[in-house]
Amino acid sequence: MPSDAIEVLKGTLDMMVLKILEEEPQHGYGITRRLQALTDDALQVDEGSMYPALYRMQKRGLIEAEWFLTDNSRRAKIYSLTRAGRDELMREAAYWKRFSGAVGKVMAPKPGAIG
Amino acid sequence: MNLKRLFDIRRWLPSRRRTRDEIDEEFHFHLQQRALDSEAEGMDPAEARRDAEQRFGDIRHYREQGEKVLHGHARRQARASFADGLMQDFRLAFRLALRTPTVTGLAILALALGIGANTAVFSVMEAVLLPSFDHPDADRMVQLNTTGLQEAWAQGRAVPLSADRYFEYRDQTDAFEQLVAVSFGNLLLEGQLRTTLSLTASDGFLDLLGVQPLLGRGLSRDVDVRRGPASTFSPGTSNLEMLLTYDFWQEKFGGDSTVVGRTVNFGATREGDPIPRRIVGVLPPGFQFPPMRVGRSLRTVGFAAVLPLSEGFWVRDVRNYNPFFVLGKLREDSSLEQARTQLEAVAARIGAQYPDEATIVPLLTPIRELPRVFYGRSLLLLWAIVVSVLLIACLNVASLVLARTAARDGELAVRYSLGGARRRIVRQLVTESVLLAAVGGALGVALAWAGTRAAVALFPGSMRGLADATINGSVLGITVLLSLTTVLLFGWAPAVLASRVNLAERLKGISRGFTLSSGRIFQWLVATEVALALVLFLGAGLLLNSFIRLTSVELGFDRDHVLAVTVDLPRAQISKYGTGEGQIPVGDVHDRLIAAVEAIPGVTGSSILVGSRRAGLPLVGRGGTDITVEDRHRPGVEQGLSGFFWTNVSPGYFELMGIPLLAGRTFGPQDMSGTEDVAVISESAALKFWPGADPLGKRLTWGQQDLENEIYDRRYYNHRLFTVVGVVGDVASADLTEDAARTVYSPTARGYGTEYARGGVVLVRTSGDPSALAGAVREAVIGVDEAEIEVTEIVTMRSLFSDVVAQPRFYVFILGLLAVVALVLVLSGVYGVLTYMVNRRRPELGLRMALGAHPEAVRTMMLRQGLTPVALGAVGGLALTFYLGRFLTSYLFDVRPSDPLTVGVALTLVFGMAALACYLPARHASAIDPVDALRME
Repeated sequence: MPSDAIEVLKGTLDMMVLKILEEEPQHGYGITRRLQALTDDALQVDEGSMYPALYRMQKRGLIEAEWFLTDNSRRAKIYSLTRAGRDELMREAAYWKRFSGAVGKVMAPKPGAIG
Repeated sequence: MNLKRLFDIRRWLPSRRRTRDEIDEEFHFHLQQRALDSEAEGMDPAEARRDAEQRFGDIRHYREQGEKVLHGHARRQARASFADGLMQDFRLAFRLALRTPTVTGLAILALALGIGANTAVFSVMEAVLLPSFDHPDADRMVQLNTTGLQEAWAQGRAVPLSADRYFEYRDQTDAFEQLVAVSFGNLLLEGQLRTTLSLTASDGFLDLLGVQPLLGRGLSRDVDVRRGPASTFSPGTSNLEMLLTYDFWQEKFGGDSTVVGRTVNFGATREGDPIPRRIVGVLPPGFQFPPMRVGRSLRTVGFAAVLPLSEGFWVRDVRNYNPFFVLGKLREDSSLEQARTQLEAVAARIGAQYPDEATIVPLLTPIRELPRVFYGRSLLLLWAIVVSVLLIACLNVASLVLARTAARDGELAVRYSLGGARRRIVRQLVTESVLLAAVGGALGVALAWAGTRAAVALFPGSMRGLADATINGSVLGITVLLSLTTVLLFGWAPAVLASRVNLAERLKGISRGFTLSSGRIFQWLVATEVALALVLFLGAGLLLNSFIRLTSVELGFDRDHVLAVTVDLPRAQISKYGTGEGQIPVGDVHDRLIAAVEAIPGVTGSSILVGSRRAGLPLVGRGGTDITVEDRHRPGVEQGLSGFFWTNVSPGYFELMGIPLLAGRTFGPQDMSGTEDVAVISESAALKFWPGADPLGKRLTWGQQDLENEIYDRRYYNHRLFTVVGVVGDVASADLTEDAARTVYSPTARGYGTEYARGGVVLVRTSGDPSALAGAVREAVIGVDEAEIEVTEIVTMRSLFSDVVAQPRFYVFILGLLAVVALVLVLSGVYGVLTYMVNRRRPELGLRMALGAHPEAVRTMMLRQGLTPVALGAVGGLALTFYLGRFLTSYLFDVRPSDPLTVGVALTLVFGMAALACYLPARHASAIDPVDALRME
């Protein structure tokens, strides 16, 4: 695991999972792979921690799970976004945009500051 | 959904286990996929696996976390499925029931008894009291009687109508769609020895009931009997018609449809002369005739055939002969009031024309109201009793359910404080009530069914209508509904109260129980129960007391060792015996019967009684004969007497029956010649005829005769004057509670009517058990003339007596049963509630004892707590009984409602049993181990 991996901000994992599931329904491992691919393995997360998060969202009704057979005939639990999940994702995304924008403004290097 | 998923066994495992398996599978899948991917990238398998595990992190930790989240989720999902949740609730409820067996058992018992006993009793009583009649127009049907006749025996009573009056009412009113007169008579079919009951009906009879004949047609319209010559009736002329009932048609003609239109010979006269009669139709099966006021009873009369009224040759010109029961159907557009007004107007016109009849008024009663008219108070009483028992059952259930719930308030408070959903807990409590109600209700229905069957089996043939008793659905429905409502209400209310309880206080132990802490509500429930039960118990006791007195009534004769054999002769025309030329006098048969019976070893004497059927025999029938005595015109009218018995008996009758001779002499062989007309009268008859005077030597005759002007009652074929030669003791009549039978006895000699009799009652005195000789007596009687003599009944006088008391015995049994049910309910209630109270106060009682209270003192305290409401209830019950006493009096015989013995016994029983019911929990209280009790706290 890369030593410079970032600790996941509380709550952002859920949002990212929802975003990934928006693309297509996935099993837990698939979500993990996709997340790692999208973030270039920059996030420092136990892969196992994905599951309690998934279960929590399932309980909140944001995602739903069903067992399917994979291509090589193995059972896999496939998660998909629910209507409520889609709404939640939209809210979270909007919030995140505002939040990151605000943080970005603060953190952006000011002209003439280096000096 | 794919099939594999559906048949995945794991889905059916208990949810917690299933959750774990699913998580493991998911994790395993993840690890394997990761390892496979790493391998694909060139890692060696063992390292790939290690790497996968490392990336995944602490498997156990995540599994646990996942489980925690998911299991809650699964449970919620399961609960969303109603059946699952319900099953869970029921499992819990069942466990609770097992944990509180006493209270639960008692509540179920109360429910079962309340529903079962009440329904059974009501159903049975209804079958006995109320004849059933279903007809679409029943609401418009009425029975017309008259009342207020001069004759004292009819004063205030409803009597049938005379033909003239019937026609006057019918023709001068227009409020009725139909007004039909019917009367009953005997019909003798050709080749048949015995008669069957026939109905004589005016036209409109079928229209009244809206019935079409199954075959043929209805009767032709009436000939106007008022103007037609009496000889329209003479044999040979006839357009005489007849309708058969379906059953009679099946029985006598085998359902042969060619019988319609055929002429057969029937006898309908007093002599049974054969009359050719044409069968014009057959009534449909299941034909139902409305119940009517007949004499003093309300009943549905069965008959074999219907004859037209026009044949009643005897109906004309006799304004004071009232054989007609009149049924009517109001026109749809006219009211009962209109009909009454019209009838009264007619009555006034009649009164103007015949001053004798000025006091007669019409009495119009809707058929639907007849039961109320007849049994109004009894029905009300029955309802009151049933409602009381039901109320007791409900109060009992209420207190037990309340106690059961109250006992759990600790548990409930904890559940609330742990965040148990309020709705969820209330639902649990209601489910418990439903379970209780379902079990109790089911048992109740079963009991109702069994009880009704048992009553039918216990009293075979003794009560009319009993055999048809079936569960009354609406009463069952009402009792079930009421009981279950009580359970639900009292199961649900505490649950709601409990949800409002101040949790903090409850947990600190400040507030014991919700609002039931004082137990006052229980005391009120128990007190009310006891009061009601005591009233019932007292009522039953009084009735039982009456019954005992009734059965020890002075009968006036010796009922032991006497056999009564009713014999029948064929109709005179086809018999060897009769008054005709070449026929043997009936009296000879009587002599031969007595001789034959007396020849049997074990028979010590025999006598014969000749009346209309068995009338005149003690305990049978009611007297209906008018008597005229010399020097006094119509004593019945002047003294307000009911009818008299007139009975013919052979010499030796009084001695055989053990009826004491009070003055003069009884009949001897010399009286059988008929040369001198003599009579023996009963003591009460003597008192009525000639109060204060010596009756011996005085003369009397039957019917309402005007001796001075020689105007005779045409119903009696002669007017001999009988000289009283003796006075004997009274014998009890069929109605034991009424005055003794006022009887006039004359010998069975020729000329007194016995020569026309077609039967009689042979009385046989035996030295041993009379029923043992029944077979021999029957053989001897029939042996006199096998071809002609038939024995229709052999009974001992003792069994005749038990038949007479069958009805009161039945009522005593029913009310006694309900009283016992009420008592059991109350005792179980007292016991259950006190047990609960002891359990509740366990810690407190333990503390008291730890502080030195004597077990004795604790026991006394609990006893007092249990018995206080019982005492209160008993006082209330006594007061209520005395208040209701007036109402009860008419049901009692020779007992006052305040009878000290009955009251004493009832009080002692109720109180004693209640004390016993309290003693057990109280003793339990005194046996509490203080250490245990306090540790519990």
